[in-house]
Amino acid sequence: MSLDDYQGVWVFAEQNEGRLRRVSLELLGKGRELANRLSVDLAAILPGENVADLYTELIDYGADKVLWADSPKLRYYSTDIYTRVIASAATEHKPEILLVGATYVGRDLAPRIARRLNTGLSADCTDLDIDEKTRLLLQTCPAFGGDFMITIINPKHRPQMATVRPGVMQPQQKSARKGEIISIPADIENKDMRVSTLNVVKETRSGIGLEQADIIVAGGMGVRSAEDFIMLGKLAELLGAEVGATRDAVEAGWASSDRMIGQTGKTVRPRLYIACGISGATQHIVGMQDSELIVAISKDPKAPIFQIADYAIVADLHQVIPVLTQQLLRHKSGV
Amino acid sequence: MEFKLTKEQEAIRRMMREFAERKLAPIAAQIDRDAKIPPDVYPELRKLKLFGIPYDKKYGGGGESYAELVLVIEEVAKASAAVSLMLAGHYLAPISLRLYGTEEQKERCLPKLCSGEGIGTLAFTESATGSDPEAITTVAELSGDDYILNGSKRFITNAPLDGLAIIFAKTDNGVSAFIVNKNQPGYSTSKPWEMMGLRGGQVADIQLNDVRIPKANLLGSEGKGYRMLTELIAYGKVNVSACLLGIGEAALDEAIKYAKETTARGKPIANFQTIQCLIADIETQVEAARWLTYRLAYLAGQGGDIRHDSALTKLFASEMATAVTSKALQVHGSYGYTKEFKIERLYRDARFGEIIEGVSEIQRVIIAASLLR
Amino acid sequence: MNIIVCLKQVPGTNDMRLDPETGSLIREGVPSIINPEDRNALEEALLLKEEHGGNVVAVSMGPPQAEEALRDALAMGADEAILLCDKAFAGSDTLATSFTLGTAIKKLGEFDLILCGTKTLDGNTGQVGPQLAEFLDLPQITYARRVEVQGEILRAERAFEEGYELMETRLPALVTVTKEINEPRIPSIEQIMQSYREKEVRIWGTPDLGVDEHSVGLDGSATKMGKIYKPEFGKGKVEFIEGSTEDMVQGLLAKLEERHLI
Repeated sequence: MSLDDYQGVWVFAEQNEGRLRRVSLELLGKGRELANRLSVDLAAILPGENVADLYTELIDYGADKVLWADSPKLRYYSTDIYTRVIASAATEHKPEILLVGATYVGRDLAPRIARRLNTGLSADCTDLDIDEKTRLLLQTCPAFGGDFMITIINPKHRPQMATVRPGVMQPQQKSARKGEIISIPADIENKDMRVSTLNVVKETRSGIGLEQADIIVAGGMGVRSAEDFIMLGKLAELLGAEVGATRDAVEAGWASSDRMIGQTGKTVRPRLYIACGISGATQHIVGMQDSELIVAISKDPKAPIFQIADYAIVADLHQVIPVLTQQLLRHKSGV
Repeated sequence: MEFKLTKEQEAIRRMMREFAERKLAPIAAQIDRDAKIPPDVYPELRKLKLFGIPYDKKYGGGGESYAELVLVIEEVAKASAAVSLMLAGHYLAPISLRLYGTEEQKERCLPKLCSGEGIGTLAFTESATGSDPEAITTVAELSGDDYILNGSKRFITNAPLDGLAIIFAKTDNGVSAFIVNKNQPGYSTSKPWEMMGLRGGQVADIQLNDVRIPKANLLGSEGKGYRMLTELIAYGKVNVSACLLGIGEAALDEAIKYAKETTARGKPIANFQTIQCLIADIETQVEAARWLTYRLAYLAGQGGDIRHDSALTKLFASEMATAVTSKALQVHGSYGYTKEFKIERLYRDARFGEIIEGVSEIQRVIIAASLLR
Repeated sequence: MNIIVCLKQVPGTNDMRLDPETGSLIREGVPSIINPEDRNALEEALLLKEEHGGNVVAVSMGPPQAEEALRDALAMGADEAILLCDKAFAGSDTLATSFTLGTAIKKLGEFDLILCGTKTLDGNTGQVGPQLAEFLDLPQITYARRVEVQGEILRAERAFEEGYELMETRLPALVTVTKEINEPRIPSIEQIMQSYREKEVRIWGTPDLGVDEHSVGLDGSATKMGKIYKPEFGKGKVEFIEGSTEDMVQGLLAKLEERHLI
């Protein structure tokens, strides 16, 4: 068995309630790029129940093949079953690369598969590349709370596995493509599933929802009072956002500690982060720097937050936020 | 000579830092704003048994040394100087008992102090004086088997908090010290003074109206009060120095943080030599204060006469705290002068150091006295 | 209940500096702490022990100074502590770490539950827990924010994107916990002193584990680390939106609309 026997890039297609998680499409986008560089096929591996309608989607987003396993027992994620199905398929078909989204499922599943296959796994990658000479997967991940980056390789074990941070890679343009559908075994008995799900509880948005929030409006010392934090709250409500706070604002008593974002608080990666009156202390930045889009509003033109922001407004938030709120209200009511 | 902490001491520091960062730092600004330590802080401190660290286990103490006590107070002070003041003030009572108490007094009074059920207080200062025994006007009259205390005390730390007070009063042959239970009839306190800093520490006046205490509550001998005070205050200064050390460290941390994060022309101001000079001075002074304080804790454990060394240490630590908080504020520029930054509070907190437990001038007199006699 | 807690000593700050010559992190002078989520795991173990009786063993793989972390664990209330320490363990990735920890745990005899923190402050992979579970062939529940045991049955609330799931499994099992689960106790000075004076930290190396040096550490790892570098803090393309307050707000809203954020 030599390393050359391993060919192909695989992506774990994670579905939830019959829909693909966006990260799976992002992985296909990156996977397509990697597969092209290696001149190999890109396959999506999709365990689930009644998810046949997803096969075309996977192919249209770049997969050459879809390896599917369909069974009622695969309807919901279960470590034991999913590990068995995917690890067996990998042992059989020998991909050289297997990518998994760093979702709650992915972070539970990927390490188990890697251990079963006795191979290496890097976590939460923000970039993937192929080394021209060695054909090895170059896995770039953050280290030490995001202050540093590190590149990892897996020279002697296969498949080379990586979990990839959602929201970082880009899906390909969807286009009608042709692909192969291959079934993989899913012979599972009840006793194989050692952990059962008794109940699934969806939580409504509350302060604890920061890590899952799409949009966050956060305030720092520039907000100056608890009352003014309420002003941020109103803006957040309009945007369907959560309210976050810096450590100093929490210590000043303007926001509760479960809203704290930063080194000693929560780490968030929303699609939009609006930083109001936040200077941009490292302590805070490490908790939100991976936000897709950062808008910073601060009256201090020297504030470090402007170094990582995408859009900067140098002005007093006490002027800007009310106008922003007003305009949004008008926008929403269609005026 | 070894200049390092033992593994146990490192572990204690780690734990206290975790406690202070988790429980005290988040409410320190609020304590300062409201000039009040929330009541639920005290049970947390009791749970960790922070009120009787260097006292014998048979009295409910921790059986450790001043070194461990200093590390605890230092970490507490770094997060909230007001809470550390409360602790330092408290310790004056068990210190007094350990030095001068009879076995009966120790058995009767130390346990509640060590557990923190009772918060200690030392009351010498009056409106006429902080250091002059001749000017004391509070009197203790012998009446049968009791003493009756009348008079008033000023600027007394922890006066309103339940527990034991060691009160100095004039008797026929000079000043004497008495153990008084603060919830005794006749003992009352004024509203706490509104202070510039260390807000949350309860510093108030005491009114003594025919406070009747048994003869058995005379501490030490009659007339020896002032001599006792100078000795026990020397031990008190170990703890005050630790408070000031914690404040100095907090100021250093704030200055470094600000210097690294604030930019001018796209680069951190830490790159400027003027800022570097300020911060270098701060660290130098803090480190000097640190090792003087640790050395003093060591000497206190040896049991000799530490009056000279504690005056020296406290003098240095207090002037250090004033100086470094000022420099750290300077690093912050205008921002340091606003309530939005922590250094503003540290600056106010530090200033009391040069006054409390003997003004700096008195410390200098004490130091010179040993050298020039 | 016999509970094993895996913990790791990590740098107490994320304010790390790189040695420009060697390219590795400067660990000297950086205070070390028990990884915060591992403390939550230990606290949960202690709570379960208080409820059900039993024994808590803390295990850690690390350099000699990791003994401090185990002493802290003993001070909190762990009954036993084992440090897996050997030069051969250096350079371990999570595969090698799970192998080493798992081999040691096999030597400890019967247990009911293994608790770990979900991830560490420094490595941040969250992989050791599940890989250890796989190595020991245990059912696993990750991201647990609540755990309950009744007899042989363990129930846990496991976080996921949209909320949480209530899971159930039979012991023995492995559970990784998040910091929501509890607030770790802070030991008293007396407990700290006792942990140094009265308790023991056993130290095991490769001979004690009965493993070959090549199956652990760098040799036993599948992944190899390349250079650590500090990324340019900043995307470098900040766009300042200017004008009157109204103009700036309009400008911002236009950008947000473009990106379908509003």
